[in-house]
Amino acid sequence: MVRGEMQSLSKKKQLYLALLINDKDIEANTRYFKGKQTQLLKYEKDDARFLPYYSVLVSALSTSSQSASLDSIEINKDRDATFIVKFKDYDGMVQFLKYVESDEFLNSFDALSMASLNLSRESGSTTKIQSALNKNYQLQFKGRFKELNDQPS
Amino acid sequence: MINLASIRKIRYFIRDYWPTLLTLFALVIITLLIMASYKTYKETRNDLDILTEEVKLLKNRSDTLQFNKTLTEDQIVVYNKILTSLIPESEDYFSIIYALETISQNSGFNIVSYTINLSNTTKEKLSINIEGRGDPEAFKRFLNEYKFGGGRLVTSERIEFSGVNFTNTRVSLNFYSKKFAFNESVVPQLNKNDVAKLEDIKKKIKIAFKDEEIPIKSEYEVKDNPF
Repeated sequence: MVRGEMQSLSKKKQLYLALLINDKDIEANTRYFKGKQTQLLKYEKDDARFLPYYSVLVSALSTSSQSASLDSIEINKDRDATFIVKFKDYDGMVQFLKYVESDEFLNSFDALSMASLNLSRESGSTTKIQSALNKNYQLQFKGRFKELNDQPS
Repeated sequence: MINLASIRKIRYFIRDYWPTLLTLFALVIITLLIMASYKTYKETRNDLDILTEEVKLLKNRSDTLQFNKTLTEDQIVVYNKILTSLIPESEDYFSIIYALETISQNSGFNIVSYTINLSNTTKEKLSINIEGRGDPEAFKRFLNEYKFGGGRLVTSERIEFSGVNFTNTRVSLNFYSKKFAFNESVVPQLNKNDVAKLEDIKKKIKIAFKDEEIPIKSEYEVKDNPF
């Protein structure tokens, strides 16, 4: 009985070996695919995935105040961000500050703090009226974005 | 005298106890036979277990391959070409220049200079700092494009973008290369996500793969001696 079982298993072994020899290219390709895909997934972790965070910020600016514009932004792969928002008028800045404190905006961040506030006048303003008109308010923020999974296009 | 007496004693002993001795001898033979049969049975059982395990492993391997074959619909060769293009086996500087050029052209974000960042470069990773110019829309297209759009895997660890004058955008980009090494003893089973990811990348890159080179037949006879 055992001998009969052995014979049957030996036949099966031969059959599978023949199938595997036939599929050796597929096997090599599968192993290569998985190996390279593992490399791909590992290296992808180095990416800052800037776009979703940038989009969040740009849409927040347009929602909060019409006079707000993004002066500069810096973000690294750990989602640590520094950004400067510029305003042409004081009211716009106050509107933005109110929005910044809302849950809607803060929900995008793990941490956020205002690092500095700058008031500057654009060069070339000769009269007092011109000078008042060309005032620029700048707010610098530092913080860390929450991890976003979806990448908006 | 003593020896003769001993031999005589043994003879008497055998004559008196021969049925007992025969029984003992038979018992020893039977025990030896049983032990030998048991050893053979155990060895056969062991061989059978090993063979069963081998067949099981071969069956799993074959089933996995058949599953992978069906899942990838024979596209695995194309996927591998894409992966090799994204992460070549050894660094190819021309493909880096080509990738930067392609990303720049496709996005409209003008890459004006690039320098190799040696402090951040390793055996597997080449780090390049680029400076680019473009309005926020072009910059957004660049962000959409840079990862796979040039036909190489590009990651960015740090991005500085100026949304006002559009001239001070500095991006640090990484390019990768690594030799593939066989390290798994089991054939990996692919899943739908693996294939979906590659299909997604395939849509993002435009790579023209070279067909197998067909040997060109010479129309004229080649002469060894020119004279």
